[in-house]
Amino acid sequence: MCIQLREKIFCRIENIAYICSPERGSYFKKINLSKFILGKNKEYEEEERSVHEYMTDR
Amino acid sequence: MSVFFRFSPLLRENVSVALKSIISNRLRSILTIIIIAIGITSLTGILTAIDAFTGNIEKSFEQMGTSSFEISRLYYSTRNADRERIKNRREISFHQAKMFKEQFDEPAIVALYAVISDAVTVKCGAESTSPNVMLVAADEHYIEYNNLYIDKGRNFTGSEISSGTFVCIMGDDVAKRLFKGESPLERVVTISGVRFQVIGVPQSVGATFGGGTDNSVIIPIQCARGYFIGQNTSFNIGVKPSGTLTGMNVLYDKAEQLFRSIRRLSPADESDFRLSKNDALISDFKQITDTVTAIAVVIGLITLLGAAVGLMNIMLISVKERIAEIGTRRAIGASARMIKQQFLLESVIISEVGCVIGVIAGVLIGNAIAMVMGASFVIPYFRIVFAVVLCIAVGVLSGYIPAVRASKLDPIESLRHE
Repeated sequence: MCIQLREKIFCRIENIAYICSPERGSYFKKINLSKFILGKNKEYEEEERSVHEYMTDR
Repeated sequence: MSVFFRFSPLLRENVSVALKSIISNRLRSILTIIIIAIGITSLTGILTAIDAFTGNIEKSFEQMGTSSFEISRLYYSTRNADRERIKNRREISFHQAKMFKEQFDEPAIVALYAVISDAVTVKCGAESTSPNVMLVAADEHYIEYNNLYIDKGRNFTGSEISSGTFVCIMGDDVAKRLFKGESPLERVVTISGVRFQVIGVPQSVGATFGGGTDNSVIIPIQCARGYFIGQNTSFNIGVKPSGTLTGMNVLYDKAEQLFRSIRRLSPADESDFRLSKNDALISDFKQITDTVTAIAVVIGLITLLGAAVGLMNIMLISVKERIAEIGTRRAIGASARMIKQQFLLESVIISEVGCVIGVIAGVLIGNAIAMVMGASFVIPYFRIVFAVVLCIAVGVLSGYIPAVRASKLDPIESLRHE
Protein backbone atom coordinates (compact mmCIF):
# COMPACT_ATOMS: atom_id res chain seq x y z
CA MET A 1 0.00 0.00 0.00
CA CYS A 2 1.20 3.50 -0.65
CA ILE A 3 -0.18 6.97 -0.16
CA GLN A 4 -2.31 8.02 -3.10
CA LEU A 5 -1.67 11.27 -4.94
CA ARG A 6 -4.76 13.07 -3.64
CA GLU A 7 -4.44 11.96 -0.04
CA LYS A 8 -3.18 14.39 2.59
CA ILE A 9 -2.13 14.21 6.21
CA PHE A 10 -4.99 15.70 8.19
CA CYS A 11 -3.61 15.37 11.65
CA ARG A 12 -0.51 14.05 13.32
CA ILE A 13 -0.34 12.97 16.95
CA GLU A 14 3.27 12.02 17.73
CA ASN A 15 4.10 9.17 15.37
CA ILE A 16 0.52 8.48 14.32
CA ALA A 17 -0.75 10.29 11.25
CA TYR A 18 -4.33 10.43 10.03
CA ILE A 19 -4.51 10.59 6.25
CA CYS A 20 -7.72 11.47 4.44
CA SER A 21 -8.83 11.29 0.86
CA PRO A 22 -11.10 14.13 -0.26
CA GLU A 23 -13.60 11.85 -2.03
CA ARG A 24 -14.79 10.17 1.13
CA GLY A 25 -15.32 12.42 4.08
CA SER A 26 -15.99 9.69 6.64
CA TYR A 27 -12.82 7.73 7.15
CA PHE A 28 -9.16 8.20 7.85
CA LYS A 29 -6.25 5.97 7.16
CA LYS A 30 -4.34 5.75 10.42
CA ILE A 31 -0.65 5.04 9.86
CA ASN A 32 2.29 4.64 12.18
CA LEU A 33 4.98 7.00 10.88
CA SER A 34 7.79 5.22 12.72
CA LYS A 35 7.31 2.33 10.30
CA PHE A 36 7.14 4.57 7.28
CA ILE A 37 10.10 6.12 5.51
CA LEU A 38 9.13 9.16 3.46
CA GLY A 39 10.19 9.21 -0.15
CA LYS A 40 11.01 5.50 -0.23
CA ASN A 41 7.47 4.49 -1.17
CA LYS A 42 7.76 1.47 1.07
CA GLU A 43 4.78 -0.54 2.29
CA TYR A 44 3.37 0.61 5.57
CA GLU A 45 0.73 -0.64 7.97
CA GLU A 46 -2.50 1.23 7.83
CA GLU A 47 -5.77 0.97 9.65
CA GLU A 48 -9.12 2.43 8.63
CA ARG A 49 -10.57 4.76 11.26
CA SER A 50 -13.96 6.41 11.21
CA VAL A 51 -14.34 10.09 12.12
CA HIS A 52 -15.98 8.88 15.33
CA GLU A 53 -12.98 6.76 16.26
CA TYR A 54 -10.63 9.55 15.29
CA MET A 55 -12.51 11.92 17.62
CA THR A 56 -12.19 9.36 20.44
CA ASP A 57 -8.45 8.81 19.69
CA ARG A 58 -7.86 12.53 19.84
CA MET B 1 -29.78 -3.88 -2.55
CA SER B 2 -26.12 -4.88 -2.99
CA VAL B 3 -26.26 -3.61 -6.60
CA PHE B 4 -27.56 -0.29 -5.29
CA PHE B 5 -24.73 -0.02 -2.76
CA ARG B 6 -22.15 -0.96 -5.42
CA PHE B 7 -23.27 2.04 -7.44
CA SER B 8 -23.36 4.27 -4.43
CA PRO B 9 -20.33 3.66 -2.19
CA LEU B 10 -20.84 7.00 -0.49
CA LEU B 11 -24.37 6.03 0.55
CA ARG B 12 -23.05 2.73 1.87
CA GLU B 13 -20.45 4.63 3.84
CA ASN B 14 -23.09 6.99 5.21
CA VAL B 15 -25.25 4.07 6.33
CA SER B 16 -22.26 2.59 8.08
CA VAL B 17 -21.39 5.96 9.69
CA ALA B 18 -25.02 6.40 10.81
CA LEU B 19 -25.09 2.88 12.33
CA LYS B 20 -21.79 3.47 14.16
CA SER B 21 -23.05 6.75 15.51
CA ILE B 22 -26.29 5.11 16.71
CA ILE B 23 -24.32 2.36 18.44
CA SER B 24 -21.84 4.78 20.04
CA ASN B 25 -24.68 6.91 21.48
CA ARG B 26 -26.39 3.83 22.88
CA LEU B 27 -28.52 5.29 25.68
CA ARG B 28 -29.83 8.15 23.59
CA SER B 29 -30.60 5.83 20.67
CA ILE B 30 -32.39 3.29 22.89
CA LEU B 31 -34.56 6.02 24.45
CA THR B 32 -35.53 7.36 21.02
CA ILE B 33 -36.23 3.86 19.71
CA ILE B 34 -38.48 3.22 22.74
CA ILE B 35 -40.46 6.42 22.01
CA ILE B 36 -41.07 5.35 18.39
CA ALA B 37 -41.76 1.73 19.44
CA ILE B 38 -44.46 2.85 21.91
CA GLY B 39 -46.18 4.93 19.21
CA ILE B 40 -46.11 2.06 16.71
CA THR B 41 -47.14 -0.52 19.36
CA SER B 42 -50.27 1.46 20.18
CA LEU B 43 -51.12 1.92 16.50
CA THR B 44 -50.53 -1.67 15.34
CA GLY B 45 -51.88 -3.12 18.59
CA ILE B 46 -55.27 -1.46 18.23
CA LEU B 47 -55.46 -2.21 14.50
CA THR B 48 -54.43 -5.87 14.98
CA ALA B 49 -57.09 -6.36 17.65
CA ILE B 50 -59.72 -4.80 15.37
CA ASP B 51 -58.60 -6.98 12.44
CA ALA B 52 -58.82 -10.11 14.58
CA PHE B 53 -62.34 -9.21 15.76
CA THR B 54 -63.53 -8.27 12.30
CA GLY B 55 -62.23 -11.52 10.80
CA ASN B 56 -63.86 -13.55 13.54
CA ILE B 57 -67.24 -11.87 13.29
CA GLU B 58 -67.30 -12.01 9.48
CA LYS B 59 -66.58 -15.73 9.77
CA SER B 60 -69.54 -16.09 12.13
CA PHE B 61 -71.82 -14.28 9.68
CA GLU B 62 -70.59 -16.36 6.75
CA GLN B 63 -71.19 -19.49 8.78
CA MET B 64 -74.85 -18.48 9.15
CA GLY B 65 -75.10 -18.27 5.38
CA THR B 66 -75.25 -15.03 3.46
CA SER B 67 -78.70 -15.78 2.00
CA SER B 68 -80.37 -16.27 5.40
CA PHE B 69 -82.34 -13.47 6.93
CA GLU B 70 -83.96 -12.70 10.24
CA ILE B 71 -87.07 -10.84 11.32
CA SER B 72 -86.67 -9.14 14.66
CA ARG B 73 -87.97 -6.19 16.62
CA LEU B 74 -84.69 -4.53 17.52
CA TYR B 75 -81.48 -3.80 15.71
CA TYR B 76 -78.45 -1.68 16.41
CA SER B 77 -78.30 1.82 15.02
CA THR B 78 -75.72 4.56 15.52
CA ARG B 79 -78.37 7.28 15.06
CA ASN B 80 -80.10 8.54 18.21
CA ALA B 81 -83.39 9.21 16.40
CA ASP B 82 -83.44 5.60 15.11
CA ARG B 83 -82.67 4.22 18.55
CA GLU B 84 -85.59 6.07 20.12
CA ARG B 85 -87.96 4.84 17.39
CA ILE B 86 -86.74 1.22 17.61
CA LYS B 87 -87.05 1.17 21.40
CA ASN B 88 -90.78 1.86 21.24
CA ARG B 89 -91.64 -0.87 18.77
CA ARG B 90 -94.17 -3.57 19.62
CA GLU B 91 -92.75 -6.97 20.56
CA ILE B 92 -93.02 -9.83 18.07
CA SER B 93 -95.34 -12.18 19.94
CA PHE B 94 -95.11 -15.95 19.80
CA HIS B 95 -98.47 -15.98 18.11
CA GLN B 96 -97.27 -13.64 15.31
CA ALA B 97 -94.06 -15.62 14.83
CA LYS B 98 -95.99 -18.87 14.68
CA MET B 99 -98.45 -17.42 12.16
CA PHE B 100 -95.56 -16.39 9.95
CA LYS B 101 -94.10 -19.88 10.11
CA GLU B 102 -97.42 -21.45 9.16
CA GLN B 103 -98.21 -19.05 6.34
CA PHE B 104 -94.77 -18.62 4.73
CA ASP B 105 -95.04 -21.23 1.98
CA GLU B 106 -91.77 -20.55 0.16
CA PRO B 107 -88.94 -23.12 -0.12
CA ALA B 108 -87.23 -22.16 3.12
CA ILE B 109 -86.58 -23.32 6.65
CA VAL B 110 -88.25 -21.07 9.22
CA ALA B 111 -86.86 -21.12 12.76
CA LEU B 112 -88.45 -19.40 15.76
CA TYR B 113 -86.34 -18.41 18.69
CA ALA B 114 -85.88 -15.91 21.49
CA VAL B 115 -82.89 -15.08 23.62
CA ILE B 116 -84.24 -15.38 27.16
CA SER B 117 -81.13 -14.25 29.02
CA ASP B 118 -77.40 -14.04 28.49
CA ALA B 119 -76.60 -14.38 32.17
CA VAL B 120 -77.84 -17.70 33.52
CA THR B 121 -76.03 -20.26 35.64
CA VAL B 122 -76.25 -23.92 34.66
CA LYS B 123 -75.82 -26.43 37.49
CA CYS B 124 -75.24 -30.16 37.63
CA GLY B 125 -74.73 -31.60 41.10
CA ALA B 126 -71.92 -29.67 42.77
CA GLU B 127 -70.64 -28.25 39.49
CA SER B 128 -71.91 -24.96 38.11
CA THR B 129 -70.96 -22.52 35.37
CA SER B 130 -70.29 -18.80 35.68
CA PRO B 131 -73.49 -16.72 35.42
CA ASN B 132 -72.77 -15.77 31.80
CA VAL B 133 -74.41 -18.58 29.83
CA MET B 134 -76.89 -17.56 27.14
CA LEU B 135 -80.31 -19.23 27.38
CA VAL B 136 -82.10 -19.53 24.04
CA ALA B 137 -85.64 -20.76 23.48
CA ALA B 138 -85.90 -22.26 20.00
CA ASP B 139 -87.66 -24.77 17.83
CA GLU B 140 -86.26 -27.78 15.99
CA HIS B 141 -85.14 -25.69 12.97
CA TYR B 142 -82.87 -23.35 14.93
CA ILE B 143 -79.82 -25.63 14.62
CA GLU B 144 -80.20 -25.91 10.84
CA TYR B 145 -80.91 -22.18 10.45
CA ASN B 146 -77.60 -21.43 12.18
CA ASN B 147 -75.71 -23.88 9.94
CA LEU B 148 -74.81 -25.99 12.97
CA TYR B 149 -74.83 -29.74 13.23
CA ILE B 150 -75.21 -31.87 16.31
CA ASP B 151 -71.87 -33.41 17.19
CA LYS B 152 -73.07 -35.61 20.07
CA GLY B 153 -76.63 -36.78 20.64
CA ARG B 154 -79.52 -35.39 18.61
CA ASN B 155 -81.66 -32.36 17.75
CA PHE B 156 -85.12 -31.61 19.22
CA THR B 157 -88.01 -33.52 17.71
CA GLY B 158 -91.21 -31.80 16.61
CA SER B 159 -93.17 -33.41 19.44
CA GLU B 160 -90.62 -32.29 22.05
CA ILE B 161 -91.07 -28.72 20.81
CA SER B 162 -94.87 -28.81 20.74
CA SER B 163 -95.24 -30.62 24.05
CA GLY B 164 -92.58 -28.55 25.80
CA THR B 165 -90.47 -31.46 27.05
CA PHE B 166 -87.73 -30.59 29.55
CA VAL B 167 -84.75 -31.34 27.32
CA CYS B 168 -81.90 -29.11 26.20
CA ILE B 169 -79.08 -28.79 23.70
CA MET B 170 -75.92 -27.62 25.37
CA GLY B 171 -73.08 -25.57 23.84
CA ASP B 172 -69.65 -27.20 23.74
CA ASP B 173 -68.04 -24.77 26.24
CA VAL B 174 -70.83 -25.19 28.78
CA ALA B 175 -70.65 -29.00 28.46
CA LYS B 176 -66.87 -28.98 28.94
CA ARG B 177 -67.11 -26.74 32.01
CA LEU B 178 -69.85 -28.80 33.67
CA PHE B 179 -68.87 -32.34 32.77
CA LYS B 180 -65.10 -32.00 32.33
CA GLY B 181 -64.66 -34.46 29.47
CA GLU B 182 -67.48 -36.87 30.49
CA SER B 183 -70.43 -37.33 28.16
CA PRO B 184 -73.18 -34.79 28.94
CA LEU B 185 -75.85 -36.87 27.17
CA GLU B 186 -78.78 -38.04 29.32
CA ARG B 187 -77.45 -36.00 32.27
CA VAL B 188 -79.82 -33.67 34.09
CA VAL B 189 -78.90 -30.01 34.59
CA THR B 190 -80.68 -27.24 36.48
CA ILE B 191 -81.29 -23.79 35.01
CA SER B 192 -82.95 -21.27 37.36
CA GLY B 193 -84.43 -24.13 39.37
CA VAL B 194 -85.86 -26.00 36.34
CA ARG B 195 -84.40 -29.40 35.44
CA PHE B 196 -83.54 -30.32 31.86
CA GLN B 197 -82.11 -33.45 30.33
CA VAL B 198 -79.20 -32.89 27.91
CA ILE B 199 -79.96 -34.51 24.55
CA GLY B 200 -77.33 -33.00 22.25
CA VAL B 201 -74.16 -30.93 21.87
CA PRO B 202 -73.55 -29.00 18.62
CA GLN B 203 -70.08 -28.83 17.13
CA SER B 204 -67.91 -26.05 18.47
CA VAL B 205 -67.91 -22.93 16.30
CA GLY B 206 -65.72 -20.65 18.41
CA ALA B 207 -66.88 -17.78 20.51
CA THR B 208 -67.78 -14.30 19.37
CA PHE B 209 -67.15 -11.65 22.04
CA GLY B 210 -67.14 -14.44 24.63
CA GLY B 211 -70.64 -15.58 23.65
CA GLY B 212 -71.98 -17.54 20.68
CA THR B 213 -73.50 -21.01 20.48
CA ASP B 214 -70.63 -22.61 22.39
CA ASN B 215 -71.59 -20.66 25.49
CA SER B 216 -75.34 -21.21 25.29
CA VAL B 217 -78.08 -23.66 26.23
CA ILE B 218 -81.04 -24.13 23.89
CA ILE B 219 -84.38 -25.25 25.31
CA PRO B 220 -87.68 -26.00 23.51
CA ILE B 221 -89.64 -22.85 22.82
CA GLN B 222 -92.93 -24.17 24.32
CA CYS B 223 -91.23 -25.25 27.50
CA ALA B 224 -89.55 -21.81 27.79
CA ARG B 225 -92.90 -20.05 27.34
CA GLY B 226 -94.21 -21.75 30.47
CA TYR B 227 -91.23 -21.03 32.72
CA PHE B 228 -88.96 -18.27 31.41
CA ILE B 229 -90.72 -16.11 28.86
CA GLY B 230 -92.84 -13.20 30.04
CA GLN B 231 -95.26 -10.94 28.19
CA ASN B 232 -92.51 -8.60 27.05
CA THR B 233 -90.31 -11.15 25.31
CA SER B 234 -89.95 -10.53 21.61
CA PHE B 235 -89.43 -13.51 19.33
CA ASN B 236 -87.16 -13.68 16.32
CA ILE B 237 -87.87 -15.46 13.06
CA GLY B 238 -84.92 -16.91 11.17
CA VAL B 239 -85.43 -17.84 7.51
CA LYS B 240 -82.94 -19.93 5.57
CA PRO B 241 -83.90 -20.27 1.89
CA SER B 242 -83.37 -23.78 0.60
CA GLY B 243 -83.22 -22.72 -3.08
CA THR B 244 -80.52 -20.95 -5.03
CA LEU B 245 -79.60 -17.30 -4.58
CA THR B 246 -81.59 -16.12 -7.61
CA GLY B 247 -84.83 -14.39 -6.80
CA MET B 248 -83.78 -13.71 -3.21
CA ASN B 249 -85.12 -10.17 -3.25
CA VAL B 250 -88.57 -11.51 -4.17
CA LEU B 251 -88.34 -13.85 -1.19
CA TYR B 252 -87.40 -10.98 1.14
CA ASP B 253 -90.31 -8.92 -0.21
CA LYS B 254 -92.74 -11.80 0.27
CA ALA B 255 -91.55 -12.32 3.84
CA GLU B 256 -91.88 -8.62 4.60
CA GLN B 257 -95.37 -8.40 3.05
CA LEU B 258 -96.56 -11.46 4.94
CA PHE B 259 -95.26 -10.20 8.26
CA ARG B 260 -96.70 -6.72 7.66
CA SER B 261 -100.12 -8.29 7.20
CA ILE B 262 -99.64 -10.41 10.35
CA ARG B 263 -98.69 -7.23 12.26
CA ARG B 264 -101.83 -5.57 10.76
CA LEU B 265 -99.91 -2.62 9.29
CA SER B 266 -101.65 -0.39 6.80
CA PRO B 267 -99.87 0.35 3.50
CA ALA B 268 -98.99 3.82 4.79
CA ASP B 269 -97.31 2.49 7.94
CA GLU B 270 -93.61 1.97 8.15
CA SER B 271 -92.57 -1.62 8.97
CA ASP B 272 -92.23 -1.86 12.75
CA PHE B 273 -89.80 -4.78 12.57
CA ARG B 274 -86.41 -5.34 11.04
CA LEU B 275 -85.81 -7.79 8.24
CA SER B 276 -82.06 -8.15 8.40
CA LYS B 277 -80.19 -10.00 5.72
CA ASN B 278 -76.87 -11.44 6.77
CA ASP B 279 -74.98 -9.71 3.95
CA ALA B 280 -76.52 -6.40 5.06
CA LEU B 281 -75.48 -7.20 8.63
CA ILE B 282 -71.92 -7.72 7.42
CA SER B 283 -71.92 -4.31 5.76
CA ASP B 284 -73.49 -2.71 8.90
CA PHE B 285 -70.80 -4.31 10.98
CA LYS B 286 -68.09 -3.14 8.57
CA GLN B 287 -69.40 0.41 8.94
CA ILE B 288 -68.99 0.20 12.71
CA THR B 289 -65.50 -1.31 12.53
CA ASP B 290 -64.46 1.27 9.92
CA THR B 291 -65.44 4.04 12.35
CA VAL B 292 -63.57 2.35 15.22
CA THR B 293 -60.54 1.83 12.94
CA ALA B 294 -60.55 5.49 11.90
CA ILE B 295 -60.67 6.59 15.56
CA ALA B 296 -57.88 4.13 16.44
CA VAL B 297 -55.72 5.38 13.55
CA VAL B 298 -56.18 9.00 14.68
CA ILE B 299 -55.23 8.10 18.29
CA GLY B 300 -52.23 6.08 17.05
CA LEU B 301 -51.11 8.90 14.77
CA ILE B 302 -51.30 11.42 17.64
CA THR B 303 -49.08 9.11 19.74
CA LEU B 304 -46.70 8.80 16.80
CA LEU B 305 -46.69 12.57 16.32
CA GLY B 306 -45.49 12.86 19.92
CA ALA B 307 -42.79 10.30 19.14
CA ALA B 308 -41.79 12.25 16.00
CA VAL B 309 -41.38 15.46 18.01
CA GLY B 310 -39.27 13.53 20.55
CA LEU B 311 -37.10 12.11 17.76
CA MET B 312 -36.60 15.57 16.21
CA ASN B 313 -35.62 17.00 19.60
CA ILE B 314 -33.07 14.25 20.16
CA MET B 315 -31.65 14.68 16.64
CA LEU B 316 -31.26 18.45 17.24
CA ILE B 317 -29.35 17.75 20.47
CA SER B 318 -27.28 15.20 18.59
CA VAL B 319 -26.31 17.78 15.94
CA LYS B 320 -25.33 20.26 18.64
CA GLU B 321 -23.19 17.70 20.46
CA ARG B 322 -21.41 16.61 17.28
CA ILE B 323 -20.43 19.98 15.80
CA ALA B 324 -16.69 19.11 16.04
CA GLU B 325 -17.32 15.79 14.30
CA ILE B 326 -19.28 17.53 11.53
CA GLY B 327 -16.40 20.04 11.13
CA THR B 328 -13.88 17.21 10.85
CA ARG B 329 -15.96 15.43 8.26
CA ARG B 330 -16.35 18.60 6.23
CA ALA B 331 -12.57 19.18 6.47
CA ILE B 332 -11.68 15.75 5.13
CA GLY B 333 -13.99 15.99 2.15
CA ALA B 334 -17.61 15.45 3.14
CA SER B 335 -19.99 17.70 1.25
CA ALA B 336 -22.93 19.47 2.90
CA ARG B 337 -25.18 16.97 1.11
CA MET B 338 -23.36 14.04 2.68
CA ILE B 339 -23.73 15.52 6.18
CA LYS B 340 -27.44 16.02 5.55
CA GLN B 341 -27.74 12.47 4.28
CA GLN B 342 -25.95 11.08 7.33
CA PHE B 343 -28.29 12.73 9.83
CA LEU B 344 -31.36 11.82 7.78
CA LEU B 345 -30.21 8.19 7.62
CA GLU B 346 -29.60 8.15 11.37
CA SER B 347 -33.11 9.43 12.00
CA VAL B 348 -34.69 6.93 9.55
CA ILE B 349 -32.69 3.98 10.95
CA ILE B 350 -33.69 4.84 14.55
CA SER B 351 -37.29 5.22 13.43
CA GLU B 352 -37.28 1.89 11.56
CA VAL B 353 -35.69 -0.04 14.44
CA GLY B 354 -38.40 1.42 16.68
CA CYS B 355 -40.94 0.40 14.03
CA VAL B 356 -39.79 -3.25 13.97
CA ILE B 357 -39.94 -3.50 17.77
CA GLY B 358 -43.29 -1.67 17.84
CA VAL B 359 -44.82 -3.88 15.12
CA ILE B 360 -43.75 -7.11 16.87
CA ALA B 361 -45.04 -5.84 20.25
CA GLY B 362 -48.21 -4.41 18.68
CA VAL B 363 -49.10 -7.62 16.80
CA LEU B 364 -48.48 -9.72 19.93
CA ILE B 365 -50.40 -7.42 22.31
CA GLY B 366 -53.26 -6.86 19.81
CA ASN B 367 -53.62 -10.61 19.26
CA ALA B 368 -53.39 -11.33 22.97
CA ILE B 369 -56.29 -8.92 23.65
CA ALA B 370 -58.28 -10.36 20.73
CA MET B 371 -57.62 -13.96 21.79
CA VAL B 372 -58.68 -13.26 25.39
CA MET B 373 -62.00 -12.09 23.92
CA GLY B 374 -62.34 -15.16 21.71
CA ALA B 375 -60.91 -14.10 18.33
CA SER B 376 -58.20 -16.03 16.49
CA PHE B 377 -54.57 -15.02 15.77
CA VAL B 378 -53.99 -12.78 12.73
CA ILE B 379 -50.94 -11.18 11.13
CA PRO B 380 -52.09 -7.89 9.60
CA TYR B 381 -49.65 -7.66 6.66
CA PHE B 382 -51.19 -4.49 5.25
CA ARG B 383 -50.95 -2.74 8.65
CA ILE B 384 -47.30 -3.81 8.96
CA VAL B 385 -46.42 -2.32 5.55
CA PHE B 386 -48.37 0.81 6.56
CA ALA B 387 -46.36 1.08 9.82
CA VAL B 388 -43.02 0.64 7.99
CA VAL B 389 -43.86 3.34 5.43
CA LEU B 390 -45.18 5.61 8.19
CA CYS B 391 -41.93 5.21 10.15
CA ILE B 392 -39.84 6.12 7.11
CA ALA B 393 -41.96 9.27 6.82
CA VAL B 394 -41.57 9.97 10.57
CA GLY B 395 -37.79 9.46 10.30
CA VAL B 396 -37.48 11.81 7.32
CA LEU B 397 -39.78 14.47 8.82
CA SER B 398 -38.09 14.39 12.23
CA GLY B 399 -34.57 14.25 10.81
CA TYR B 400 -34.94 16.86 8.07
CA ILE B 401 -34.60 20.07 10.11
CA PRO B 402 -31.67 18.76 12.25
CA ALA B 403 -29.98 17.42 9.09
CA VAL B 404 -30.33 20.73 7.24
CA ARG B 405 -29.00 22.55 10.31
CA ALA B 406 -26.01 20.19 10.46
CA SER B 407 -25.26 20.61 6.75
CA LYS B 408 -25.34 24.40 6.99
CA LEU B 409 -22.74 24.62 9.77
CA ASP B 410 -19.61 26.59 8.89
CA PRO B 411 -16.79 23.99 8.54
CA ILE B 412 -14.08 26.25 10.03
CA GLU B 413 -16.21 27.29 13.02
CA SER B 414 -17.27 23.66 13.54
CA LEU B 415 -13.70 22.40 13.43
CA ARG B 416 -12.75 24.89 16.15
CA HIS B 417 -15.73 23.89 18.29
CA GLU B 418 -14.83 21.98 21.46
